[in-house]
Amino acid sequence: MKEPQRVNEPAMSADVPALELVGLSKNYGAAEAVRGIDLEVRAGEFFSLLGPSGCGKTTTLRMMAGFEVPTTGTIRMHGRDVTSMPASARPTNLVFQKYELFPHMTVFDNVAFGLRVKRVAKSDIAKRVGEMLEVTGVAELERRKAEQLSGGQQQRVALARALVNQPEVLLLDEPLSALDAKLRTRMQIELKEIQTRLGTTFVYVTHDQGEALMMSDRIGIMNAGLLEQVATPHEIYERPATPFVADFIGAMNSLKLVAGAIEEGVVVDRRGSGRVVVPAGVQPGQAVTAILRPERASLSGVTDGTHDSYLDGTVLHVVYGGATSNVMVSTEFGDITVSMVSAEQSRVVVAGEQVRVGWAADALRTVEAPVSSEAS
Amino acid sequence: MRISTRAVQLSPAAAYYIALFLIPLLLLAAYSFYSVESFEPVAKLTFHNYVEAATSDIYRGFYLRTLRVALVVAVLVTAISFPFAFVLNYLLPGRKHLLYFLVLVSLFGGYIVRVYAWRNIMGREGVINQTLIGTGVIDSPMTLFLNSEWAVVVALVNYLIPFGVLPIYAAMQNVPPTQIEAAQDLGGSRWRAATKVVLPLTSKGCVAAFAVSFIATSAEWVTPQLLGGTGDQLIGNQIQHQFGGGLNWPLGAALALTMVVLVVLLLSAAYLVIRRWLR
Amino acid sequence: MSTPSMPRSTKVMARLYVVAVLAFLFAPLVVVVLFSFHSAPRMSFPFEGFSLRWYDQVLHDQLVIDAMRRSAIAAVLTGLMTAVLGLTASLALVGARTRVRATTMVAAMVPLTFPTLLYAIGLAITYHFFGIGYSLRATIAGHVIVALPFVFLIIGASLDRFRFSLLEAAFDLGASPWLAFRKVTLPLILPAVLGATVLAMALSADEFVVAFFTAGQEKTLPLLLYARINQGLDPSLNAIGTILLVATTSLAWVSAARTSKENQ
Repeated sequence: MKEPQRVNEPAMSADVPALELVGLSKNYGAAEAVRGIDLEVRAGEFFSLLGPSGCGKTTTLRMMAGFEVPTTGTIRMHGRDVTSMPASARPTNLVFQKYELFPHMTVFDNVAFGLRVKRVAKSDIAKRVGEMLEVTGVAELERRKAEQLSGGQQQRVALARALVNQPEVLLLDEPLSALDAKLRTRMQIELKEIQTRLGTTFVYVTHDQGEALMMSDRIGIMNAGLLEQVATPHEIYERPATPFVADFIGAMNSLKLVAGAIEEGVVVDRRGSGRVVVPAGVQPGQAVTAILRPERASLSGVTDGTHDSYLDGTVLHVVYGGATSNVMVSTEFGDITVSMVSAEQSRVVVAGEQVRVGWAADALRTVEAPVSSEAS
Repeated sequence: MRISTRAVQLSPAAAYYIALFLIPLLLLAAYSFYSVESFEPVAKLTFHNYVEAATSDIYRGFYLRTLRVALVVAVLVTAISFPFAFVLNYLLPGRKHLLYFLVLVSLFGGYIVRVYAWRNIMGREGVINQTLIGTGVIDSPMTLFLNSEWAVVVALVNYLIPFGVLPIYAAMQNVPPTQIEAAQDLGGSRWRAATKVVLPLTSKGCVAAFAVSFIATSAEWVTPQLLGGTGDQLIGNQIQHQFGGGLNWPLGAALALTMVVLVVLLLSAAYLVIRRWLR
Repeated sequence: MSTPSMPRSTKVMARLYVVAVLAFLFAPLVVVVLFSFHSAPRMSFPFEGFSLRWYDQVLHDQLVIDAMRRSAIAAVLTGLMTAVLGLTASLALVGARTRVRATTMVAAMVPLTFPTLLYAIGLAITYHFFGIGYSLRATIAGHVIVALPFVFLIIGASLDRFRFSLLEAAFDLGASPWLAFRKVTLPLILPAVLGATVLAMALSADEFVVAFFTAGQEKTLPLLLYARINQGLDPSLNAIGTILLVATTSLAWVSAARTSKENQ
């Protein structure tokens, strides 16, 4: 079967962003849903807008689609200002959270809808719809009525219906949230494959960080109407820019440190029973909050790991999760969660025992500027 | 922008409504103050019609009879409809859609056809008499069926039961059978559940059933004319007469509006009384 | 749905009651239909034999045929006009503020609570006032008001159930508001619209009071029946009555079937 033509071919300059938001904001009366967003989405990229409920990500998406009029700011697509363009004229298509298939029409008629509106020739419609149904894996459902489909099938048809129009940007509003876990995982992989295959720019809204991390080329994290960080998944996970991002992505431990003396070339905090290497850039006398990912910590005698820093403490409880286990240890710096791969444990850990928690020096990161310790 | 499109969309219906509903009502009220000259209504305004409607013994008789019949019919319709709807919803729930549907179908059997049918059944040459004579139970036709208030009541109740069942059934949709079960679980009998639980919760529906029957009966004229005797005529007959042979439209209008006022007063009074009792 | 547990006697009594009430409701209609086929010009039991003589008589009666024609015309026109008015009004209320909706709904329902006699005489007065003569058209105008509340309710309920997010999907795919209405909204509310139209037709076909005061010489079938009843009991009236009854009941049946189809 011939591959459907890649959209966003070199006709579109690779320098011009597929989508650009400049100073975009949206107020509903006194409520500020989106408080000023600047964003560039590159052509052909899989971009996710990630954030908790109410952060403004859906509103932003709807402004991109043309269903909400921005209070201030501009939206550009491939350089064209589309801010005042209504949804029906925009070169975007939206995959709705509830799919919104036309229940009284067949799958074919649903997918063909946008093409028929544009008065594409009948033979072309048949060809393109057929191709897109193959790509999304629902070719055999062509004659079925939309209301008779299962959730997963509807989702695929909704995707086909949007993609067949070859939009400059495909917008997806939490399209997998109504599916069960197994189907969701499968669809995440398929969506990523389709996007790579077709080369269409995807803007994907979700509140599920695992989903975003897995599928995206870049992620934009939103909170309370603002973008906190825009970066690759790796960057966001390893180097969160703000406390919110650090807290939202993955689990984390938070340690309040006071930089003390310099020992063997590194600044340490020795207020407790152990030794904590303070992250670089913090001067003696400064206080800072640092984060530590649970999987970067280890228990001495249980799993292997570098212990540049270490603390002694008592095990509060152990949560067995199959492939991994989480152990919560009470230390003078607070409760620290250690995540271990069960298969790598050399012995079982029980609540109440004394253990030593340790980690490599670079596992500790700051997300805020250090302050002078007199201020705390 | 949106507001004006809505106004445009609403305007055909609104215009029609004003022209063919509100204006007739206004003119009806206006004509009730008109006078009559050579059997034609003229715009010489007077209270004469209302005075006559209020003070004439004849009309008072009609009003009293009408209100009495309306009361009887309304009570009967509500009393028959409530148990019917109750049985449908809580005792035979499996069949309730079918049975409700049958009730609606009977509604569309028609009005005139029904009145004609009752005349058939109850009249001198009608079904009951002919069968009784034919089987030798009686020798000559009994006239006690037809041309009696009783006949009018039976025919009206027969016609209005669907109108009574409708609102009560609808109200019962908000009181699921589990409520009855809860009442029974707490030791009550089904009768107790009906009166203490369902009745109060569906009181709005029962009130609607009563009101609809009462209002409909108060304006009845065809049924009394065809099934009632000379002494059983209702105010509706008088109103119709003024628009027919009586040729006194203003009086007819005044009689009609007076009746509306009486009905509203009576129903409101009844409602206030019942409300306290239902509380 | 499980039948609640109860003593057999209660269930039997319940069934008897329902049957009794339904029998009471249908008895008059059954009598008319039954005796419309009676070979003898009497309405008594025992039943003497089936015959179509009354139908033959009635269907060769020009007056009856004219009346049937008029009732049919009135029904169709009432249905169409009420559908258009009801649809535009219901669409106008979409997305309106609660206060606007509530007032419109109340205003629309007022004709229902009004005794038809009063409306009929008011309409007659209006025609007289404006010098408009009595005719079938005059009656149809009144029938529309009688049927409008029902149609408005039914279509309104259907629009309430309609998911307007579907229209956003249509817009996103490039459709204009009119196209979206035509291809998405209309097909989905069509069962209700059709059901309501047929109901309006049934209401018009059966309507007597308004017709009595406004039809003048152009008698509809119920008016004809009434006039002949006043002339005396005539077995052929059973035939006329049955025809009317079958017409209105089948219309009602179709209407109910259509509107419930949507609720599947």
